[in-house]
Amino acid sequence: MAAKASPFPPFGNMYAPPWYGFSPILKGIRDMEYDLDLPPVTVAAGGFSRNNQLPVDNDADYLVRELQFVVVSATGTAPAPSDIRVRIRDGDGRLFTSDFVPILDINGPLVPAWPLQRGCVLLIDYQNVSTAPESSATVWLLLKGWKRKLCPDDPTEAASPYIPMYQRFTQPDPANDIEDFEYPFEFTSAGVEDRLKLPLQTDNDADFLWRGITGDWNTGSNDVATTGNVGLTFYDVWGVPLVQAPIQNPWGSMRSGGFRETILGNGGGRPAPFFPEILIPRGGVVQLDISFGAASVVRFSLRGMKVYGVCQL
Amino acid sequence: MNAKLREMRLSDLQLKTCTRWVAPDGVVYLEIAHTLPFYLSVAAGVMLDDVELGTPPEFEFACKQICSTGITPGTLVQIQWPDGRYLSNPGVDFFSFVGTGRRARGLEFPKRIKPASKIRFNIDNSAAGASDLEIYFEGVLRVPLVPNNGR
Repeated sequence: MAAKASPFPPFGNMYAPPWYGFSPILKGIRDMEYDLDLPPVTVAAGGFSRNNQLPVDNDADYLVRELQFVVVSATGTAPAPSDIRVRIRDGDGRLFTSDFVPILDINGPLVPAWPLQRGCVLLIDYQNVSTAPESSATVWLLLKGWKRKLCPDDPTEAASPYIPMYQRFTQPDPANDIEDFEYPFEFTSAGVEDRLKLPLQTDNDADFLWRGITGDWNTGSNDVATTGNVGLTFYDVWGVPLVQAPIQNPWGSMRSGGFRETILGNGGGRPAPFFPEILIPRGGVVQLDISFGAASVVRFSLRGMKVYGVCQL
Repeated sequence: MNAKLREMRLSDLQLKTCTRWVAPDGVVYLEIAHTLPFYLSVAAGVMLDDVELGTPPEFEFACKQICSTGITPGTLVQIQWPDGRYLSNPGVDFFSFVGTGRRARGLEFPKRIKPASKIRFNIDNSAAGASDLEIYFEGVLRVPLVPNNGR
C-alpha cells in the first residue's frame, strides 16, 4: 500500500526500542513479541545459586534481543551493584559467559540477537560476592525478544537487510490516518490478591495499534506510584500472553528511577515498546492478570496509534 | 533560501475537489520553532472541564511533543485537539506520564493545528493537595512561502 504523501515525516523513532534495526522481516517467517523471565532467585551473601532453569517454550524458536536484570535487597544490607554476578549456559550446554560476570556489565541489548532453539533449557548461575553479613539479594532476570514461527503463506519479505525499526511500524495510507493515543488504567488492591483476565476495553471509534506500555515514574517524589511487588501478565486480543510467566515489576528497586523497562516504561514519553505492534480492532479487549503482593495501586498506560478511516473526497 | 519567495496570501489558495482550499503548487514552508505554554493552578479536589488554550492566529502550528514540568503528582489531564480527537481516554497523570526532554510525550506524527484554534483540557485534581500545571506544546510554526512572480 502506498505511503501517504505528507510534508510531515514521522517524528523519528519514539517507539523504536534500543535494539531497533534487528528483527528483519523474512519471507515465510512470522515474528511475535514475547518475553521470558526467570522467577526471582535469592542469593545469600558470599554464596551461589546454581542451575536455575529457564525453559524456552517449545512452540517456536526464540531470539533474545535484550537481557534485563534487577537486583533488590532480600535481607540486611543491600549489596553493591557489582556484587551480583551471573553465568549463563545455553540450551546446547555451551557457556554464554565464560565465567561469572557482574550483571551490570551484561545488562542491556544484545548485538546481534541471541538465538535459542525451541524447547531448550537455559541454566543460570548467580553469585553474590558481598562480604557484608546478611546482605542476601533477590535477582530477577528477563529476556526480551521474539518468537520466530514458520508461516509459509506470509507474503511479507524484507526489501533490505536493514530497515530501521520505526519504518516497520504501520504507516498511514490514503484510506487510513493514524494518530497517537493512549489508554490509561489504574487498579487498586487492599492486600495480597490475584486478579485474572481483567478486560482492558478500547474505544470503538478506531482500531488501535498497541506499541508499548508506560508506567508510573519511579521516583521518590511520586507519592502515588506503586510500591511493593506486583506481577503483571498482558494478553493480546487473541488471548495469547505476552510473557511466559507473570513479570514482577520491581518497584522499590535499589536502582530507583533507572531500570523499569521489564514491562512498563519508567514514566514520561518513552514506553516499554513492543515489536511487532499489536492490532486491537475497534472496541476490542485485551486482558491482564495482576498478582498483588501487598496493598498497592498500579497504574499504566497502553500507548500506540489510533487508526481513523479517512473520508475520500 | 530562494530570494524570490514571499509569504502566501489567501488569494493564492486553490480549490481542490470542489470543497477544500489548499496551498498552491510550489509552496514551501518555513518552520520556526515555537512553544505554546499552558499554566494553571488547580485547587485540591477540583475538576475542570473544557479549559481552553488558544493557538497562534496567523500560522499553522505543528505540535511535535508535549512536555510537563509540574511537580505535583496525581493531577489527571485529558487533551482534546482542535479537530475533536483526544490524546487519551480518560486523562493521564502528567507528572508521571509526560516529562521533559527525553521523557517528553512525543507525537509520532506531528499534530497539525490550524491557526486560531483551541486546544481543550479536561482536568481532574481529585488529589488532596493543590497542583500547578505546567504544560508545553513544543513544535513549529509553519510559514507558507510561494514564488514571488509579481502578484
